[in-house]
Amino acid sequence: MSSAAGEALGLDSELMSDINTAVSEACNNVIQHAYSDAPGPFSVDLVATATGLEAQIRDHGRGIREAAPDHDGLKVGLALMSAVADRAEFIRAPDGGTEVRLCFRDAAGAGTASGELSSEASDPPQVWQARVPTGLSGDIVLTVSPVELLAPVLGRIGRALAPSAGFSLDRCADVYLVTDALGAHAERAAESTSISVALGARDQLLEFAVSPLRAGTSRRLGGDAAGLRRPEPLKSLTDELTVSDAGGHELLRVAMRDQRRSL
Amino acid sequence: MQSEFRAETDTTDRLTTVTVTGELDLVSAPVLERELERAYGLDADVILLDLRGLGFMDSTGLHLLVKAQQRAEEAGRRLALTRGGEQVQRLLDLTGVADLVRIVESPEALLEADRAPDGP
Repeated sequence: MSSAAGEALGLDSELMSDINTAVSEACNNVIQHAYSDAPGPFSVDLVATATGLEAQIRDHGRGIREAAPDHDGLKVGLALMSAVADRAEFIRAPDGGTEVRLCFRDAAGAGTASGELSSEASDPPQVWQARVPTGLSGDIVLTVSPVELLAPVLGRIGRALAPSAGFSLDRCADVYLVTDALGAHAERAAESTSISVALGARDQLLEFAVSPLRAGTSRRLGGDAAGLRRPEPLKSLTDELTVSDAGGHELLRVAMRDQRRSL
Repeated sequence: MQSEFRAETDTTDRLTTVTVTGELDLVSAPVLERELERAYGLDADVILLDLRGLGFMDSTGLHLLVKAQQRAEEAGRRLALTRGGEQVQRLLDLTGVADLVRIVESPEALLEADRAPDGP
């Protein structure tokens, strides 16, 4: 997994690797345990702060205790999140769902000489309100700030979700190529410093909707009328690509099907 | 890009090596589980799970490794791992699994250690 984006943000590779570990575990937990029968909706917010990164994963499911109290996989996942994050909180939301808050300190960042997390430094109250009203909906809505964080984490989230769509192993391997291309496009075309992606999984279909993008930046991905082709993975590995207007911004939607599965 | 998952088995009379590349997670764990099950049935006493090409592992993979260790014992086999990528090794260290499973630097190192008279 490329940590180029993390490096561009001045985050060290171990931190990016830990974030991927924790975000994967959080997604696995929601996908496998939060809802009784099938995956249900959840959101992932990832925000770079002055001292590292804050991640927040929320679901509206039945809560960790009720989900699978004796499930070894769940226990290992929770332990892993706690181990890689400098601070991990598992909060029961009023609706019965779970909110996981993870705080990562960047070892290479400022003010980390002690390696300890003081309560003062670990309390950035604005972070949790930093939600972008994009109107996106899907099984997962991921919001990152800055935009460069998208590519490194979107792949793992897509891959965590792909089995819910019944994707074969081969098609799952394509997910990274598509998410990297979406991440690269978002970096070029994001309207602001944050970007949201809604992911949806259903019968042999994985969808990504990316917004808010600057008007006029994504339409050219849809064809080569302007002489500008879709980046290769978006052309060869996706089955649908549509661009729509979302309140003055662009919303790019791509869909991947697992055609090989029917063979 | 390390997304393509492969698990391939190679066996000699002394050693069965299962070489794993890509990412070990919810998607790929069942593939490795099947491959390991095949390895337990082969003749060699030692099963080496070569993780050097593994770029990422999640708790599903970790859980599978712990189970593999138990399963190998039940099958009268010994399991060893070669060190994986940074993230993989960090997971093994953080969770203490590194202390439960024998980890070697390379297949050659494993054979070498087993050949030594005071080897484990």
